[in-house]
Amino acid sequence: METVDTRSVPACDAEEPDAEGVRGEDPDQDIIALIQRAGRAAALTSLMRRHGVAVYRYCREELHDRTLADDVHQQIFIQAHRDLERFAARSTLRTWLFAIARHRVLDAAKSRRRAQAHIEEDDTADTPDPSPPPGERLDEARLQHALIECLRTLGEHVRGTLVLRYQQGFTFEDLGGVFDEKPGTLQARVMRALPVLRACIEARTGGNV
Amino acid sequence: MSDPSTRLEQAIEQLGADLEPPPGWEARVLAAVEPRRRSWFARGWFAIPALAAIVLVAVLLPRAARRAPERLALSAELVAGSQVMRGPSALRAIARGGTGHRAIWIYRDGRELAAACPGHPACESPGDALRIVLDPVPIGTYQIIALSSEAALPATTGSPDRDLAAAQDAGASWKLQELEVR
Repeated sequence: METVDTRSVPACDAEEPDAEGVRGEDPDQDIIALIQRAGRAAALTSLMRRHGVAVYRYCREELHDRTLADDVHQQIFIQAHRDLERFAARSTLRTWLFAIARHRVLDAAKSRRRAQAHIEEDDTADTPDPSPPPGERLDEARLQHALIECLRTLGEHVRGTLVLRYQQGFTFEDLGGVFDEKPGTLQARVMRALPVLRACIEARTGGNV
Repeated sequence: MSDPSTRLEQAIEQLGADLEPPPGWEARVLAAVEPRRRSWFARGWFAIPALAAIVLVAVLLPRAARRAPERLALSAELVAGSQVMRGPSALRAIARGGTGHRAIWIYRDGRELAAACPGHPACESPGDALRIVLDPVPIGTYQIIALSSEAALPATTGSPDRDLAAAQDAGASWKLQELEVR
């Protein structure tokens, strides 16, 4: 299990997560240096190349709408370009970028709810039969399908925390910078959510995780 | 066999593992963040005294000093083509300024190189400009990139995202415009 730093992470605003400072070297130090050396457009190109796919996966998982995710994904990097010069290195560049991503995703989800737009189902053409014999261990396809369904039943904050923690591999400390919450709180949220998720999957499929 | 919690964590890790952003998305973001030219009207009356000052300086400056390298500029637009059609049917791109090696790369729908200038039969170099007219131009979304570099430009691969990144790594400066042909 991951060791959690339970020291308080100071509050952050939407655009600049305000952690105590980046512990150690930011892996994106070269991109940060590019902002000064070659300008925002050059830094943006590197930022897109390095984190574009990860941010896209996050958007698709959170929004479950390809068209909306495509649009939000681009908006995230357009905002990142606008705000790059204000990046103050109080968190890693990746944490800062995902904080932007989280806010844009939440805004998009809110607008969609307001407009009661049709939600496109992702890749349901090869949906597996969700009901294996009771008690049987679920195969990967059934597990993935049920997982997607069950993640949607969770609250936005819980789902976002799980996705960033496991899909994107964020530490709880970095998650603190994205969510403006204490690492311990986020860890407790994840620990509570996993059994709920498991129960949901097993109830839906009749199989075992 | 992994325990249920680990298996669940691994399943979340695998979510969307095969998903990729749509082709040309980086070029579209770069086109969106390109500074837009404001109209003369939007620039306001203060532009007139500024222009007068520029003309004065230009007249007074010695000729040699005026030969400073020009910044790279790109102008791309849809124009009437040779085909009898309603609306524009050709795409014209002109690159001016820049130094050293220059090129215009035109991509269709972010996934296909439509033309590279120089190299394309429709590519011309009138004066210090580089010009290409694609006539007719099929329906699609076009990313037009003008490049300038002291070092040789890398070969194009057909992906604007990859090519722009490689050009940038080679130290090239660039301008990007996107046009939609319906």
